[in-house]
Order: sequence, then structure tokens, then C-alpha cells
Amino acid sequence: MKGRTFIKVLYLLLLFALVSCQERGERPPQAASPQVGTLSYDSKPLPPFKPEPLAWTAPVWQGYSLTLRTLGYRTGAELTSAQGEATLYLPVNPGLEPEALELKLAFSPGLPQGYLEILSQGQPVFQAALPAASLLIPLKGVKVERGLLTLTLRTQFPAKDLCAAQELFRVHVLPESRLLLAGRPTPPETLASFFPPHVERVVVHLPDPPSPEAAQAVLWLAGFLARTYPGRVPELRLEALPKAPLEPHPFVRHVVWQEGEGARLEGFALHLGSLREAARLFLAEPGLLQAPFPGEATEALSLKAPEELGPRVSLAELGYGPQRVEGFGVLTASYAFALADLGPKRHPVGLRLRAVHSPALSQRGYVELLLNGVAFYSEPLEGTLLDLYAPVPARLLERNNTLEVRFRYAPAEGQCTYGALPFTATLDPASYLVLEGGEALSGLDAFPQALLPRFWVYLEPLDSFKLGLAARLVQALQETTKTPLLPEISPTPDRAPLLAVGGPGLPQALGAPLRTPGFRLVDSRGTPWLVVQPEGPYAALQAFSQKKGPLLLLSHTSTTGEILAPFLEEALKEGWFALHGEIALRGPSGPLVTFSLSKSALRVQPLPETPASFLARYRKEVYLVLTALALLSLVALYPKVVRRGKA
Amino acid sequence: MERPKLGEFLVARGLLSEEQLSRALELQQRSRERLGRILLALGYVRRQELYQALSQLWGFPFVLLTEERPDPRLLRRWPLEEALRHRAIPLRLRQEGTLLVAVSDAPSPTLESALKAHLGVVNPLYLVTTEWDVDWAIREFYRKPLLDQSVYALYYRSPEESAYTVFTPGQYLALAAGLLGTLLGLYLWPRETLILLNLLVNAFFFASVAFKFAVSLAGALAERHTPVTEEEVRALKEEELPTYTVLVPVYREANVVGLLMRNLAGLDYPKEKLEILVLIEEDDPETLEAAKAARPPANVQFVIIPNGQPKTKPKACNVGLLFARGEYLVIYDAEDQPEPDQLKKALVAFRKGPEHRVCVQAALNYFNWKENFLTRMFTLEYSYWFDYLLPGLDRLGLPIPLGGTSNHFKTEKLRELGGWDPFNVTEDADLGIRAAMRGYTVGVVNSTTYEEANNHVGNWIRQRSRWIKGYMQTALVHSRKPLRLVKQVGIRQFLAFFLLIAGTPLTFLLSPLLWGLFLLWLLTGTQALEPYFPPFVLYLSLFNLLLGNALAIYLNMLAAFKRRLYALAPFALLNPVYWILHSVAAYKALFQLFTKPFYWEKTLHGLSKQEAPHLEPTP
Repeated sequence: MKGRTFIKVLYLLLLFALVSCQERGERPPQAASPQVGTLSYDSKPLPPFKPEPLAWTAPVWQGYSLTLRTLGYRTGAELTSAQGEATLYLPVNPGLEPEALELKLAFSPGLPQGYLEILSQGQPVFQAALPAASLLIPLKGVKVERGLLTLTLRTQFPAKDLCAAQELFRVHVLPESRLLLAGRPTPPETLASFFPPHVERVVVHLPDPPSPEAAQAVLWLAGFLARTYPGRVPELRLEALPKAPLEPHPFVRHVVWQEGEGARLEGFALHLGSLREAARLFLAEPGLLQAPFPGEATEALSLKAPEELGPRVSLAELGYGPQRVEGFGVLTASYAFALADLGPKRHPVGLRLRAVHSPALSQRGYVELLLNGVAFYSEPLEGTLLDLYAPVPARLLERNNTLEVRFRYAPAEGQCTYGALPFTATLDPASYLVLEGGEALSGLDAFPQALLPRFWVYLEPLDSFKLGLAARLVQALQETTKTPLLPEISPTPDRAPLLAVGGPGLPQALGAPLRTPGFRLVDSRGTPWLVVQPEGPYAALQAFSQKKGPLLLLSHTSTTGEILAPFLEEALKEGWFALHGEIALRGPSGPLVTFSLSKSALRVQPLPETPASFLARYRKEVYLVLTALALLSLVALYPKVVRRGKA
Repeated sequence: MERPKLGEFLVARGLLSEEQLSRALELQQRSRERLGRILLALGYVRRQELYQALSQLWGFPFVLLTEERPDPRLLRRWPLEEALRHRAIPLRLRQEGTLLVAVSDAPSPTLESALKAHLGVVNPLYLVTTEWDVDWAIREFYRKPLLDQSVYALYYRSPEESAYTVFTPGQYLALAAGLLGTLLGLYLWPRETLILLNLLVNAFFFASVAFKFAVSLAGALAERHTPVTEEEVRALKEEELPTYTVLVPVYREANVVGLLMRNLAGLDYPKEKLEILVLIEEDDPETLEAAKAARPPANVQFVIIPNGQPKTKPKACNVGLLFARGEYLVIYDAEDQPEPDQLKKALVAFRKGPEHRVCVQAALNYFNWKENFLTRMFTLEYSYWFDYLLPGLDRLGLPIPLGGTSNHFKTEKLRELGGWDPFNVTEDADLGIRAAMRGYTVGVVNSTTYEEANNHVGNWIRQRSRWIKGYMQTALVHSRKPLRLVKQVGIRQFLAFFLLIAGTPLTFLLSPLLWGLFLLWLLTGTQALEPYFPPFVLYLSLFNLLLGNALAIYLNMLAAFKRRLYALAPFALLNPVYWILHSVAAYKALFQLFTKPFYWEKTLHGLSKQEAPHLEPTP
């Protein structure tokens, strides 16, 4: 009987175990994940965010003023030589009309009397005598086409020597010049026209903490804004839904994240609730209408290559149409491109340049190629066709590059007068850069190219504040390249390439160069160059590589993370263009410090909050003990080893 | 009446046959040695019978000193040196004033003068006894002076040359200053101090590598030159051969003493001119019994070493030196198997060498080299040492540290040098350096003594730690007055001495630290060591690591080729592993230097499973 009882008990235990396993085997139903993107958060879906409809005050007729700097002309415009010309593309939002253009001008010394002519679509709009420090050009009635007011400025100065005038006559339109507009903001009628030609601020209303889908959409929007408004990227803000009615503004747009919503317009707001719609609007091209500013033709011509030189990208693919230069002396055509524009892990190794120019007499001119201001190739001008291949030195490459093609042509003696034939050259946009695989740059300079073709974004924790910082970073990175950045929210930081924003524990988890609350930066001789005490918080932006790939980490060592906002504002004061090195660092106040570890003799010595080793803490005592032991040993051993007389 | 001749007398007494006499006389014709010795060497007569016959021929009574004990009061007035010089023991003074003196040789006028000088005796009465009896009596009744002489002679004569004092007060002060100064430097300027130490260590290694390479190159050139040829050996005339003493110190060697007797019997040298003194410690009756049981030939004498500290091989050799009668002397260990013609080759080397040559060193190698990893590495090491390094030192005229065995000496010069230092556990290396410091030279002879290589790690470490400790002692002894030494021997010799003698233990003490740093960097990729390796130190240490080790391995490989032990060459690559054992031994040696500096780590012999080959004499 005992045996049977035992078997029964065993059977019951087995049954119990099976049932328990069965229960554990049941999994809760997975939250439905969107089709677009590869988000795979297992977190419980947040309750749907159903905001109240936005209320708007009635739009009123108002005047608005936009400086050229605000419109992207950071350095204004320049007209050179006896007959100079420059074109301004000025956005005019729907509902607004151009009133006037207030020009602030500067002139090179010794400029003779001349005049300025302003044309719009070939029709003269205004004329004024020069030099004049400021001019007010009335623009009422001037036609605006597809939200763009195109004004051509022409200067004319008498000159006996046109070649000298090419070098000496300069009229500078200052960036403080203003476009005066007036009107009443009108809400967009279509999704395509939701973002007008000029936007200063985009406000996204979403819950805090936001859902992963909302965060994803925000990051995509940030990249979209940077691509659409290069040089004048609108500010992106994340806010809760306002209580009071909003005042419509022609240069402000609102996006409301509403779960379950597709994409619809309501007044000046875009209601968005689907990642698929967000992808269609912010990633696909064409999505919304791009502001074609500054507009360039993108037609590519075929160019027969004498040999296969590997992957290449043409100037047309980089967004440049045929460029024409005309005049005497030094004539320059510039091409700005980012390494990220060439695609992931690519850098240029050579340039094939083709241009057609006016007949050049022998030894009267040459062409010079410069990369970021440094000449790396030159060749005499002969005949009418320029077709050259020049290797591009890798050492000159930067994150954002300016390739200049400089023609220097000196006409024959006595030819610098009116009526003389100027030198002209048209650069073929089918000219191309030959590419090679591999990363040319490191540290912060490697970004955003290191984030191509797509990258992960990890936020710790996922809240509006961190999302806003990440969006600002994405904007700044996108500003530097035409290649769309494709960020995706990741629930874990173990993916790469990765943009991570987090607190004190994240650098340690990711193995960043700076991962302790305090540290000392020392050179090979041990001389400290920077000491950050553990008690003092700091924010840092670090670019480094792990086995999986490159990482860009924004982190802080404070308790709340508030330090991150002023840090990022300071770091991105001049955009991502101005950030170099491998680590940018700042305390609660003070200047931004940037440095490189791999290219310098600097090393990071972590400063622990409390000294880690016994020796460090009790150094003096340890040495005293050692000395005492040494003395005792020496005294004790003396009679054994120093002997006199017989044993 | 004419006194009868010894041979005829013995034949008449029936102690010898005519045939035996004839043979002995024939040998005497060739060797010009005394008939009595020849008869003893051939085993035709017993020692006591011979001396009894001599006593009758000389007209003196015969006495056995084991039965007739001398008067201690007389011995106090008769110094040990006189007893040894004349082999004469005063027994007692008769009432009528006649002094009874036991002798083993026919009395000479010098003996009478000495007796008169020390004992005031004009007409002594001589009693004949065997030479062994005299030797025994000296060891028995002059025990304390004998021990004193063998232990402290060098110390009393020139204390600065004795390792009795491990450190002089000045050296100890310098050591203390160095140690405390380093601690202070580490505390106040840790980085600079560590860089300085790093630099000194690496500079030393660099110098050591360069020195050994230069010496080895010189040694390689000496390969082509064979100092002693077979023809020169054959050309030696027996009558010109001097008496040769072989000292064989043994301790707890009961298991190998039989082999020893066989090896000694194989020596190609006239037995009557060969005196073999087997030095056995008083507290080792097992070895004595085993030696007696091996039935040694008549020219083998057992010298019992009185018990006393330090109980070391050099002390035993010093006792043996006191009793050595040979013009030349050689030391062999119990397990040694010298090439049969080694003594003759050494003689030729002496005769061909300069007058101030005090010693020739034969090469050592191992018969059991194939036994295991340790024996292979040991053989490689010794091959390099004796086939490249020592010849190189010889060629460059630099001091040669002697090997522990197969050192052939001119006996009188050895006595002039003061014998061996009983407090130095590598007395051979010390003697070689002491000889060089006095302007004597040590040569190298192309003859090999085969030994048993240590095949057991523990045994090996015991042996090696003793050698390294001895080198430390030697370095300390001879660097007591460095400036005087430089003036004495010149900067070249001084540097060579330092790099070889002091450099060897330093190398093995310091190399684990450098290897440790290297492995730490290699395995962890740490950058924490970079501040302590500024460029000039880094380049130096890289040279030492790469080129230094490569050179050391290469030189070891070369050594295998000369001996045609090609199978050993690949094992040279395992030297870094072998060096680890050296470092273990070095630290043990350093510890013992301070705690028991004179302690002699006994190496066990007879552990090899391989049988030693039997070497045939050269035809």
C-alpha cells in the first residue's frame, strides 16, 4: 500500500508540474505593431491619446519682416566686377504678399558711381544709383510664383579695365537686409502644402511619455524639416496640447499626434496618428512639396568614361546643374557636398571634370581645383574643352566639403576694356566624383555618414525631453547632407549604428570613453589637461565605435538631465558643421570643450567618487609600512650577512 | 755492506715474484717513478708490507699510528704545515730525550732542521709508517687546525676575498640606501622613479645581450682552432708525466660511487703517477662502505673530512688540497665520466699555454640528454656555455668562471691562490675570477667530461639555486672595492666580470617582471603602462624583447650543431619556458643569500634511467 500511495503522490506532483508549465507557456497577446518600420517594443501599448480639437483665434492682417539671414542667406549676397549679378529667392507663404525689400549694402572702397537694377522674371522692378548704404525696394504687385519671389540684382559700374574691375568691384548685400511681408495667414488646404515655403517653428503635440511610434514620427519629421529647409531649419518643439486657443502664424505649424488617426488637416494643424502616414509624409519623395530653394536643375547628362573607375556620383546627382562662370581674372564655381551625400562608407578618391570654355590662348590661363580651400590640382587651359581626372587627397576631406573649380584667365594686353570677349566656362554636371569604400573620417566628423543608410535611436528613458534632444540632433545632422537620414526607435541600446540619449548609466553600458562621473584627461607625460571632479555634473556628446558599429552618445552625469538642453544648444550653436573631434563636453556653465582621444596623446583617467584601490586611499600609510618593514628586515639580516671574526 | 734494493728485498721475502719485479722495473724504466709506487699501483704488494720492507731497508722500526698514538703536547709544538710538508708525526719524547718521529718517507736534513726548530730535538729516532697512516694521523690529531685551515685560511689571509662575509658594511649600506631610496622615489615621484628603474633594467639587459653575443661570436671563431691534438697527446713521454692528483668530493653518493670507481679506472694515465683522493664526509659512513665495497685500485685513497660547518664541497676540496701530492690536480664529481685522455690533454694545454696559466677547464656535457625536456634544455645550455661562451671569453682574454668539475690546476699555484672559498657555494666560479684578478689565466681544453643532467625539476631547482646563489656571492665578493678592481684588471675585464657574474642572477631576477609587464599588456591591451615607457625606454625594451630573446635562442640553437645534437636545435625555441625555472631558482637563491648563505643544496645523482656509456681510451 505504501508503494501505491507513493506512486499516487508522484503522479499528482507530475500533474501539478505539467499544469504549471502550461500556465507559464501562455503568453499575453502581442500589441499590434505597425507595418511600417521595424519597431518591436513588447511594452504594453499606451492608452490612445485622444486630444481635444485645437482651438484657433481668428487670423488677423499683419505685417511680417524676415531678414535674409533668416531666409538662409547667412552671408547675404555678393555682386562682383563691373557688371555683377545675383539672384535672390525669397519665400512668400500663402496669404502673405511682398511689401518691400529693405536692402543694406556695403561696397568695396573706391567704387565709382554706378547703378543697381532689380528685375523679377525678366521685368525691371527697381533702379537706384550706387553707392547707397540702404535702399527700400517696393514690391507691391510683383508676381510670386509657387510661393517664391525671384529677384535678380544687377549692378553696373563704369570701368576702363574690366579685369581689374573683376577683382576690385564688390557690392555686398548684407544679411541684415529684410523682406517685408503683409497679409493674413491662411490654413493649408492640402497635405502637400501643409509646410509653406518658409517655416520658423514646428510644434508637435504629443503625450509624455510618448509612444514609440510617436517618437519615431517625430524623428522622421526632424530629418524632413532639415532636408526641406536647408540653411534655415525650423525649430522643432515638443509640447503638450495647449489649453488656450492658438494664434495662427504664417511661419508656425502644429502637428498633433493622435493614435489611430491617419493624417488629416485641421486649421493650421496636421493630425497624425499612423507611422505609415508619417513615413509617407516625411520619408517618401515626393511627399510634401519641397521648397525648391535654392533651386538647381538636376538633369544628368551622360558622359563617356574612358575606363571603369568604380562607383561614382555625378555633380548632378549631388544636386547641381550646369554652372557657368564668365568674366576676367579669377572665376570660381563652387560645389558643396557632404561625405554623407555620397552614401554610407564612401569617400571620393578622384574627380573627373568636364567643362566647355571659350577659346583660351596658350599660356593665358589655367584651371585650379581646390578642396576646402587647399589647391590639389592645376592644369593649363587649352583649346575649348577641359576634360581632366584628378585624384582627391583624402587628407583634405572633411565632413562638409567645398570643391572649387577656379579659372584664372588673363586676356591679352589691351583686352580688358568694354567689348572685349570675356572668358566663359560651363561646367558639365555629368562630371563625377569617383568613390571608394571605407571611412575617411572618425569621431564626430564621421557623422552623419556613419549613420547611413539607417540607424537606431535609443532614448533612456523614452520621454518628451529626450525625444526633443534626439530630434534636435537628427535635425542638425540632416542639415549637413542631402541624403535622407532614416532613424528608428530601438528598445535596446545593443544595435548599431546607434544614436543614444541617456543618463549616467548609459555610457558605462555602452563602453564610451567617458563613463565615470569624474575623470582626468592626461597626456603621455601624465600632465593633466582637464579635470572633472565627480561632484560636478557634465553633459557630453561622444562619438566612438564598438564591435557592432559606430555610436553617437549624448549623456549626462546629473540627476535630472536638465543640463543636456543648454549643452546641446551651445554645441549646436553653429549647427553640426562646427562640431569636430570625438568628444564635446560642458559643465553646467562655461564653454564647450571638444577634444579627440585617438588622434592625440590624451588619455582618460577615470576619477571614482571614492578612491577605488587600497593603495590610492592609504598610500602614505602603505609606504610607511613598507619602509618600516624594509628597515626591520635590513636590521634583522645585518648580522647574518655582515660577519666579522670566526663563527 | 751494500743495502739491498727494494725489489730484490721483496722477492727475497717472498712478497714479490721475479716476474712481477721484472714488469715493475720495465714500467719504472718508462715512467721513472719510484718502484714502491709502481708496485702499489700494480697491486703487487700491500701497502703495509711495502713500508715494513722499507723500514727494514732503512733500518728503522715499523709502527702503526692507529696503535701508537702521539703525545698531544708534542703535536702542539709541531705545526700542521710541518706535518704535511714532511709527512712526519712526532710520537713521544723518551726520558733520555730521544724523540720518536713517525715518517713515511726517508728522513731528510730539512726534516731534522724543522724538528730542531720546533721541538729542539737534535737526534730523533725515526719510525717508519705508511703514508696513509701519516695522513690519517694528521686528520685525526690535527683535526681542529685542519678544519681551521680548510675553512678559514682564505678568510684570514685576505678577508676581502672570502664569502664568509656576504656583504661588507659598505655594500650593505649601499643596499639599504638603494632600497630605501627606491621606496622614497616611488612615494614622491612614482612615475619618474619607475621610468628610471625601467631604463636601468632595460639598459642592463641590452648590455648583457650585446656582451653575450660578442663573446659568442668570438667563441664561434675559436671553433676552428683545436688547442690540443691527438698527436700532441701521443707525443707525451711517460717518463715526463708528473704526478697527478684527482680530488673527488662525495657526499651521500653511495649509489654512484661504484660507477665512480669504474670511471676513474678508465683514466688513461700511469697508475703509479695518479693519486686519487676520494673525499668523504665524516658523517657519511654509507658512502664510505659503498666505496670500499667497490674494491678501488691501490692508488685510490679515502680522505675522511672532519665534520664541521660549513659542510660544503670546497671545504672538502681544501682538505684534499692539503694532502695532495701531485704537481697537477683535477676535481671530478661523483657521477663524472671524463674522456680517458683528459689528463694528458690538460698537460699539453698547460705546456702550450703561458706561464701564468693556472687552470684549464674541460668541457662538460651530458650523456642522458635525450631523457626528457629538462635534460635537453640543460644539454643545450651547457653546450652553449662550454662550446661558445667559455672559448669566447678565453679568446678575448676575459675572466672565465670555472665549471664545478673537470678543472685542472697547477697545484702549487692553486695553493698560492688560497684554494677554494668554503663559504662560496660556487667555489669554482669564484676561483676562476680570483685567479683572473691576480693576473692568472684560465684556459679551455678540448676534452669533455660527461655528467648526468638533472632530470627532475625539484632537483634541478635545488642545484640551480645554489649556482645562482654562488654567483651572487662571487659578485659581492669581487665588487667590494670596485675602483681597485678596475685599476687592477682594467675596465674591460671588470665589465665582463660584472655582466657575466652579477648579470646572470640579475637577469633571472628581473626577467619575470619584464615578461609579466609584456603579458599584461598583450592580454589586456592596457594603456596604463604607457607613461612608464617613454620612447627611448620603449625602443630599448622592444629591442630586448624581440632581438634579445631571438639572439639568445639562436645562440642556443647554434650550440646544438657543434656537438651534432641536431635533434636538440628545435628545443632552443622553448628557452623562455626554461628561463622560468631559472627565475624560480634565482628567487630561491636570493632568499637563501640572506637567510642561509653557506647552505649547500645537495644535488641528488643517479636519478637517470639511462646508463652512462663506457668511454674507451684513445689508442
